[in-house]
Amino acid sequence: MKHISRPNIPRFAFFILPILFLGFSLYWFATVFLPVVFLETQYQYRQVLLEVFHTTSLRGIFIPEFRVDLRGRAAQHNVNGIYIPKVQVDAEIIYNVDPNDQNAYTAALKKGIAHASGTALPDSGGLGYYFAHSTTPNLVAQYNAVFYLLGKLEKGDDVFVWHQGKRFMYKVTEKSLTDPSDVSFLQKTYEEETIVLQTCWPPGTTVKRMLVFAERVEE
Amino acid sequence: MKIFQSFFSILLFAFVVLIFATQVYANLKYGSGEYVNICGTGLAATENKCNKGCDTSSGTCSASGNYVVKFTCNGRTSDGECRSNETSFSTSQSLSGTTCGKTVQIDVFDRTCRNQYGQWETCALQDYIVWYSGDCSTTTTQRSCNESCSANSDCGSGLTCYSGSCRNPSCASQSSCQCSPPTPSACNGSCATNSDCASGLVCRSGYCRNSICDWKTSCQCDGPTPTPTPTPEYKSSCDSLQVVGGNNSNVPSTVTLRARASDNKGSIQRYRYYFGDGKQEEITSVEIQHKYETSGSFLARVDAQDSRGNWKSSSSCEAWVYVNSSPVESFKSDCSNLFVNGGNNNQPPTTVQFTLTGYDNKGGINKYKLDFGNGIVKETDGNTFEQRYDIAGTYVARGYIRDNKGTWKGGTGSCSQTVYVNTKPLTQQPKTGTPTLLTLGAIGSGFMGVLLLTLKKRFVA
Repeated sequence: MKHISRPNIPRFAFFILPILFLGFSLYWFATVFLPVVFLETQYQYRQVLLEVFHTTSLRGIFIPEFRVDLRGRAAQHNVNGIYIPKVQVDAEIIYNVDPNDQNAYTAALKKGIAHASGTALPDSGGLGYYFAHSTTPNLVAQYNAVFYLLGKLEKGDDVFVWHQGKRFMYKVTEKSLTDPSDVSFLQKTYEEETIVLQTCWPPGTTVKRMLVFAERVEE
Repeated sequence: MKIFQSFFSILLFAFVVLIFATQVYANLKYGSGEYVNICGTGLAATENKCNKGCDTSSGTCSASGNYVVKFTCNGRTSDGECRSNETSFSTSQSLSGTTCGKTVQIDVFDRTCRNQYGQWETCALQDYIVWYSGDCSTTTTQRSCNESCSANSDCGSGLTCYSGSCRNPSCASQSSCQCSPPTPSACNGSCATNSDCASGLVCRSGYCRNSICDWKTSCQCDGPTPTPTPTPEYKSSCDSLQVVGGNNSNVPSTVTLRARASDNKGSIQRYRYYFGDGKQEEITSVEIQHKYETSGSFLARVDAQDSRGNWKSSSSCEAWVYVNSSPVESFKSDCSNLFVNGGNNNQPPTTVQFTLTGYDNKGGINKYKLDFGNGIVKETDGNTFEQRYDIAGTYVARGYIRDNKGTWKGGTGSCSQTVYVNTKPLTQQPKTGTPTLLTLGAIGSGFMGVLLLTLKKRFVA
């Protein structure tokens, strides 16, 4: 019987390529999709506990819970940081990051949330501009989707910002979706001290930008 | 006899006292008149104790710059001052040449008080003399131009009496006695020579014409369209701040401040006064009263908001307020304000100017310190600072004063200011998500991988 040798192309196409394609897809799945699913699940679980059982943990369903509103005082990053109770954002803020310099802000975003240089610092009036990832394929576990849940914020939600150890409280006033090139909000005059939190939207893309505005309130 | 001697002695003593008093207290004389007010001795006018440029013996005042101004009033003024017929500022002014019946005041200031717009700015009077030239009826000197007369002999040289007034006989109808040359002829007016025509015109065939097109009676030659007068640029400024009342009075003192600002295309909307004691107020009128509860020296300042909403200030809009101490007043000191005067909101490198104010009612401030927010701290005796910022960013500058007890105060509130050193204007919001192509690629490659695995079953046995 005569042996017919098979060409190498099908072997590459049916063995190596599927592994490469699926590997790339799995990498994206693990670093972009799973964190989003995890954050979404965690958020929905907490909302069910809060809205249905009026508690913050499973234990609270069975044992009466004494809840104290610490108003952000339990946050971990209370020197330069941000704490948004509703979406459980508790991250470091890196102040004075050049928003024009992609290398500079990419490095800052690996550590936490970036404050755009040339915009207002807390307690100095005007507009302070803060931005962070909604998703990123970087394997920097705790920060790769720090602002993913930004879209869940609603008018009146609390935002606490720390600057040099001093805490400032803001309340969400407005939320909007804009094109990446729309920077008109930076040219406006703000009567009240305001912060704007920015991230990309929808998660996993850079198609649009989500902006959440919050105004300073006295505690 | 003794009574007569006593009476005579008293009379003699009274006469000596009278002579002495006359010698000591008589007004100083100059020329035909006498001084009625002199710096240092005031209305007594016995000598000049200021000696900052005025010489009573020569009747002149001079200064190193154009700081001298002369005023002339008719008659002898009742208050010993004269503020009419102001001359322009010059280096020297003299009383000589003044006719009878005039009060002349010559002031020497520390600077030229009139600015380029003719507005009076804050300046300090250094020296002055006020002199009355003497009554005309008692003087034998002849009368000057346009003064009343009854005969030619009443008038000074070169003047004649014309309809009851001394006038120049060459042009007796002109009250100035300055015979002005004939008015040059305008376009198409008659002329004999070029000098008879107005500027830009020449005499052609007995008529004033444009030399380029002397046949045209309109004097308008065809040529390039004249360029339109450019619209004046928008200009607004804060021009001055004056302490108009209550300065140098005892604590608690109510002081009146008056600001002056200009806007060439609208009006000033608001004035924001900083009183130098840590308090501030915003009003729409130019004048404000403020009660100082602490004694000391306070650097007050005003910012003016122009018709376009911009706040304007300058060093002319600062003024010192002095409040005298009271013996029972307790020690008070603090940092009042930190001002960012210029260089803010620029791109790097930018040099930012600061002014720091504060007070100390028992000895004054002995040091000023500024933390520029970029890691640099400067300490000086003066209250102004400059700092260059090379990197874009938002910086919090904090000012401190050291009182005479050695305590540093400030760093917060009005003694803290934000300095913005801008980046290039942002044209695109930062990318804070997974690149869209990566996500689409990953989803596509997942499908492709599954597809290839499915096909493998069919093609590979």
